[in-house]
Amino acid sequence: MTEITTDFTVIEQTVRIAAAPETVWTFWTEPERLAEWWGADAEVVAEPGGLFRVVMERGPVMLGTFTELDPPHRLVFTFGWEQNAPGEPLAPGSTIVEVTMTPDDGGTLLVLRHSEMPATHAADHAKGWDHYLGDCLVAAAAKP
Amino acid sequence: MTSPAAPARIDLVAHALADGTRRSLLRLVRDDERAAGDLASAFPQMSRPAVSQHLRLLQRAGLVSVRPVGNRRLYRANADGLSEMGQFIDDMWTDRLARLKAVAERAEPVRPKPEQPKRSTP
Repeated sequence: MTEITTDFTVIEQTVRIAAAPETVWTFWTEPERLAEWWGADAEVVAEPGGLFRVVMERGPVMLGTFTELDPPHRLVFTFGWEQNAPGEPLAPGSTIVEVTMTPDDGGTLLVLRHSEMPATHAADHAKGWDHYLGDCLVAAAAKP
Repeated sequence: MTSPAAPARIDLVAHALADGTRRSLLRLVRDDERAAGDLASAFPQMSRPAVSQHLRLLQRAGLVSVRPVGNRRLYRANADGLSEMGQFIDDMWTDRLARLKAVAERAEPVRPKPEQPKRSTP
Protein backbone atom coordinates (compact mmCIF):
# COMPACT_ATOMS: atom_id res chain seq x y z
CA MET A 1 0.00 0.00 0.00
CA THR A 2 1.14 3.46 -0.72
CA GLU A 3 1.77 5.09 2.57
CA ILE A 4 1.09 8.75 2.28
CA THR A 5 2.38 10.69 5.17
CA THR A 6 2.12 14.36 5.55
CA ASP A 7 4.92 14.83 7.99
CA PHE A 8 5.65 18.44 8.45
CA THR A 9 8.18 17.71 11.19
CA VAL A 10 9.74 20.83 12.55
CA ILE A 11 11.54 23.28 10.38
CA GLU A 12 14.34 25.14 12.06
CA GLN A 13 16.57 27.63 10.33
CA THR A 14 19.30 29.88 11.62
CA VAL A 15 20.68 32.99 9.98
CA ARG A 16 23.31 35.47 11.10
CA ILE A 17 22.46 39.04 10.27
CA ALA A 18 24.90 41.93 10.48
CA ALA A 19 22.30 44.27 11.94
CA ALA A 20 21.18 44.74 15.53
CA PRO A 21 18.18 42.78 16.87
CA GLU A 22 16.36 46.10 17.20
CA THR A 23 16.73 46.61 13.47
CA VAL A 24 15.77 43.07 12.52
CA TRP A 25 12.74 43.32 14.78
CA THR A 26 11.33 46.19 12.75
CA PHE A 27 11.43 44.01 9.63
CA TRP A 28 8.92 41.70 11.32
CA THR A 29 6.61 44.33 12.71
CA GLU A 30 6.54 47.23 10.22
CA PRO A 31 4.43 46.52 7.13
CA GLU A 32 6.65 48.51 4.73
CA ARG A 33 9.69 46.62 5.94
CA LEU A 34 7.96 43.22 5.80
CA ALA A 35 7.08 43.99 2.20
CA GLU A 36 10.79 44.29 1.45
CA TRP A 37 11.47 40.62 2.12
CA TRP A 38 8.43 38.46 2.73
CA GLY A 39 5.42 39.58 0.77
CA ALA A 40 4.13 42.26 -1.49
CA ASP A 41 1.85 43.60 1.17
CA ALA A 42 1.49 43.13 4.90
CA GLU A 43 -0.89 43.99 7.72
CA VAL A 44 0.52 43.89 11.20
CA VAL A 45 -0.99 44.51 14.58
CA ALA A 46 2.08 43.87 16.69
CA GLU A 47 0.46 42.86 19.96
CA PRO A 48 -0.64 39.52 21.40
CA GLY A 49 -3.79 38.47 19.57
CA GLY A 50 -3.01 40.94 16.81
CA LEU A 51 -3.46 40.28 13.12
CA PHE A 52 -0.51 39.24 10.98
CA ARG A 53 -1.29 39.00 7.28
CA VAL A 54 1.22 38.81 4.46
CA VAL A 55 0.30 38.73 0.79
CA MET A 56 3.04 36.86 -1.01
CA GLU A 57 3.90 37.62 -4.61
CA ARG A 58 2.57 34.92 -6.90
CA GLY A 59 1.69 32.97 -3.82
CA PRO A 60 -0.81 32.40 -1.10
CA VAL A 61 -1.76 34.82 1.62
CA MET A 62 -0.33 34.06 5.04
CA LEU A 63 -2.85 34.70 7.77
CA GLY A 64 -1.71 34.55 11.34
CA THR A 65 -2.11 35.89 14.82
CA PHE A 66 0.64 37.04 17.12
CA THR A 67 0.78 35.09 20.33
CA GLU A 68 3.96 36.46 21.92
CA LEU A 69 6.03 39.57 21.39
CA ASP A 70 9.11 40.34 23.39
CA PRO A 71 10.85 43.09 21.45
CA PRO A 72 13.46 42.81 20.12
CA HIS A 73 14.16 39.21 21.08
CA ARG A 74 11.28 36.94 20.44
CA LEU A 75 8.05 36.81 18.49
CA VAL A 76 5.62 33.96 17.98
CA PHE A 77 2.73 33.82 15.55
CA THR A 78 0.35 31.29 14.11
CA PHE A 79 0.79 30.59 10.42
CA GLY A 80 -1.65 29.39 7.78
CA TRP A 81 -2.86 30.07 4.27
CA GLU A 82 -5.82 32.39 4.32
CA GLN A 83 -7.87 30.52 1.72
CA ASN A 84 -7.65 27.17 3.49
CA ALA A 85 -10.74 26.15 5.39
CA PRO A 86 -10.45 25.04 9.01
CA GLY A 87 -9.07 21.54 9.03
CA GLU A 88 -7.30 21.83 5.71
CA PRO A 89 -3.53 21.54 5.61
CA LEU A 90 -1.92 24.79 6.70
CA ALA A 91 -5.23 26.34 7.58
CA PRO A 92 -4.92 29.50 9.64
CA GLY A 93 -4.06 28.64 13.22
CA SER A 94 -2.71 25.18 12.40
CA THR A 95 1.02 25.86 12.60
CA ILE A 96 3.19 28.15 14.63
CA VAL A 97 6.34 30.13 13.92
CA GLU A 98 8.72 31.13 16.69
CA VAL A 99 11.44 33.63 15.91
CA THR A 100 14.21 34.40 18.36
CA MET A 101 16.80 37.10 17.85
CA THR A 102 19.89 37.03 19.99
CA PRO A 103 22.61 39.69 19.98
CA ASP A 104 25.64 38.21 18.30
CA ASP A 105 28.82 40.23 18.11
CA GLY A 106 26.94 43.43 17.32
CA GLY A 107 24.68 41.61 14.89
CA THR A 108 21.84 39.16 15.32
CA LEU A 109 21.57 35.42 15.45
CA LEU A 110 18.06 34.67 14.23
CA VAL A 111 16.52 31.27 14.78
CA LEU A 112 13.20 30.48 13.15
CA ARG A 113 11.24 27.43 14.17
CA HIS A 114 8.09 26.44 12.31
CA SER A 115 6.04 23.60 13.74
CA GLU A 116 2.55 22.33 14.26
CA MET A 117 0.43 23.84 16.94
CA PRO A 118 1.01 21.90 20.14
CA ALA A 119 -2.72 21.51 20.64
CA THR A 120 -3.05 19.43 17.50
CA HIS A 121 0.25 17.64 17.78
CA ALA A 122 -0.99 14.82 19.95
CA ALA A 123 -3.46 13.83 17.29
CA ASP A 124 -0.64 13.21 14.83
CA HIS A 125 -0.27 9.68 16.06
CA ALA A 126 -3.53 9.00 14.38
CA LYS A 127 -2.11 10.22 11.12
CA GLY A 128 -3.38 8.50 8.07
CA TRP A 129 -4.91 9.21 4.79
CA ASP A 130 -8.53 8.88 5.88
CA HIS A 131 -7.82 10.85 8.96
CA TYR A 132 -6.21 13.47 6.81
CA LEU A 133 -8.88 13.55 4.18
CA GLY A 134 -11.88 13.08 6.38
CA ASP A 135 -14.45 15.70 7.00
CA CYS A 136 -13.41 16.37 10.55
CA LEU A 137 -9.90 17.49 9.83
CA VAL A 138 -8.92 19.52 12.80
CA ALA A 139 -6.06 17.28 13.77
CA ALA A 140 -4.93 16.84 10.21
CA ALA A 141 -4.40 20.53 9.85
CA ALA A 142 -1.21 20.04 11.78
CA LYS A 143 0.16 17.89 9.01
CA PRO A 144 0.36 19.95 5.87
CA MET B 1 18.33 24.88 -3.40
CA THR B 2 15.67 27.52 -3.23
CA SER B 3 12.80 27.27 -5.59
CA PRO B 4 11.19 30.62 -6.32
CA ALA B 5 8.12 28.72 -7.45
CA ALA B 6 7.71 27.07 -4.06
CA PRO B 7 4.87 29.23 -2.73
CA ALA B 8 2.93 28.69 -5.93
CA ARG B 9 3.41 24.95 -5.56
CA ILE B 10 2.20 25.05 -1.98
CA ASP B 11 -0.76 27.00 -3.17
CA LEU B 12 -1.56 24.33 -5.76
CA VAL B 13 -1.47 21.59 -3.15
CA ALA B 14 -3.50 23.56 -0.66
CA HIS B 15 -6.05 24.44 -3.31
CA ALA B 16 -6.22 20.85 -4.55
CA LEU B 17 -6.99 19.58 -1.07
CA ALA B 18 -9.47 22.29 -0.23
CA ASP B 19 -12.25 20.48 -2.07
CA GLY B 20 -14.28 17.52 -0.86
CA THR B 21 -14.54 15.90 -4.29
CA ARG B 22 -10.81 16.01 -4.80
CA ARG B 23 -10.20 14.56 -1.36
CA SER B 24 -12.59 11.73 -2.22
CA LEU B 25 -10.79 11.14 -5.50
CA LEU B 26 -7.49 10.95 -3.67
CA ARG B 27 -8.94 8.41 -1.29
CA LEU B 28 -10.07 6.29 -4.24
CA VAL B 29 -6.61 6.17 -5.78
CA ARG B 30 -4.70 5.81 -2.54
CA ASP B 31 -4.24 2.06 -2.74
CA ASP B 32 -5.15 1.22 -6.28
CA GLU B 33 -4.50 2.61 -9.65
CA ARG B 34 -7.82 3.45 -11.22
CA ALA B 35 -8.99 4.52 -14.64
CA ALA B 36 -10.48 7.95 -15.19
CA GLY B 37 -13.74 6.31 -16.29
CA ASP B 38 -13.98 4.31 -13.06
CA LEU B 39 -13.39 7.39 -11.03
CA ALA B 40 -15.99 9.36 -12.94
CA SER B 41 -18.60 6.66 -12.33
CA ALA B 42 -17.99 7.05 -8.60
CA PHE B 43 -19.47 10.52 -8.91
CA PRO B 44 -22.72 9.94 -10.80
CA GLN B 45 -24.02 13.37 -9.88
CA MET B 46 -21.09 15.01 -11.60
CA SER B 47 -20.29 15.37 -15.26
CA ARG B 48 -17.31 13.50 -16.57
CA PRO B 49 -15.48 16.66 -17.68
CA ALA B 50 -15.95 18.04 -14.16
CA VAL B 51 -14.31 14.93 -12.68
CA SER B 52 -11.52 15.20 -15.24
CA GLN B 53 -10.98 18.78 -14.22
CA HIS B 54 -10.60 17.73 -10.57
CA LEU B 55 -8.13 15.04 -11.59
CA ARG B 56 -6.13 17.56 -13.59
CA LEU B 57 -5.90 19.83 -10.56
CA LEU B 58 -4.69 16.95 -8.41
CA GLN B 59 -2.14 16.04 -11.04
CA ARG B 60 -0.89 19.61 -11.38
CA ALA B 61 -0.39 19.73 -7.62
CA GLY B 62 1.68 16.56 -7.82
CA LEU B 63 -0.77 14.63 -5.65
CA VAL B 64 -1.60 12.01 -8.26
CA SER B 65 0.32 10.58 -11.15
CA VAL B 66 -1.21 9.31 -14.30
CA ARG B 67 -0.11 6.83 -16.93
CA PRO B 68 -1.85 6.04 -20.19
CA VAL B 69 -2.55 2.39 -20.92
CA GLY B 70 -4.12 1.89 -24.30
CA ASN B 71 -6.89 4.42 -24.49
CA ARG B 72 -7.31 4.61 -20.73
CA ARG B 73 -5.68 6.94 -18.25
CA LEU B 74 -4.79 5.34 -14.94
CA TYR B 75 -4.50 7.47 -11.83
CA ARG B 76 -2.72 6.74 -8.62
CA ALA B 77 -1.92 8.82 -5.54
CA ASN B 78 1.61 10.10 -5.47
CA ALA B 79 3.25 9.22 -2.17
CA ASP B 80 5.64 12.14 -2.33
CA GLY B 81 3.02 14.71 -3.14
CA LEU B 82 2.09 15.69 0.38
CA SER B 83 5.34 15.18 2.18
CA GLU B 84 6.87 17.62 -0.25
CA MET B 85 4.75 20.35 1.20
CA GLY B 86 6.93 20.57 4.30
CA GLN B 87 9.92 20.82 2.01
CA PHE B 88 8.38 23.75 0.24
CA ILE B 89 7.78 25.58 3.48
CA ASP B 90 11.41 24.92 4.33
CA ASP B 91 12.49 26.34 0.98
CA MET B 92 10.25 29.33 1.46
CA TRP B 93 11.92 30.20 4.75
CA THR B 94 15.40 29.68 3.32
CA ASP B 95 14.56 32.07 0.52
CA ARG B 96 12.82 34.67 2.66
CA LEU B 97 15.34 34.69 5.51
CA ALA B 98 18.12 35.30 2.97
CA ARG B 99 16.14 38.30 1.78
CA LEU B 100 15.52 39.45 5.35
CA LYS B 101 19.25 39.30 6.00
CA ALA B 102 19.97 41.33 2.87
CA VAL B 103 17.44 44.08 3.55
CA ALA B 104 18.21 44.36 7.27
CA GLU B 105 21.92 44.63 6.61
CA ARG B 106 21.31 47.23 3.95
CA ALA B 107 19.05 49.26 6.22
CA GLU B 108 21.24 49.53 9.26
CA PRO B 109 24.41 47.59 8.89
CA VAL B 110 26.59 46.89 11.84
CA ARG B 111 29.90 48.29 10.87
CA PRO B 112 33.11 46.75 12.02
CA LYS B 113 34.40 48.65 14.97
CA PRO B 114 36.50 51.52 13.66
CA GLU B 115 40.08 51.48 14.71
CA GLN B 116 40.70 53.60 17.70
CA PRO B 117 42.02 56.90 16.44
CA LYS B 118 45.52 57.56 17.57
CA ARG B 119 45.35 59.74 20.55
CA SER B 120 47.02 62.96 19.81
CA THR B 121 48.52 64.49 22.81
CA PRO B 122 47.82 68.13 23.03
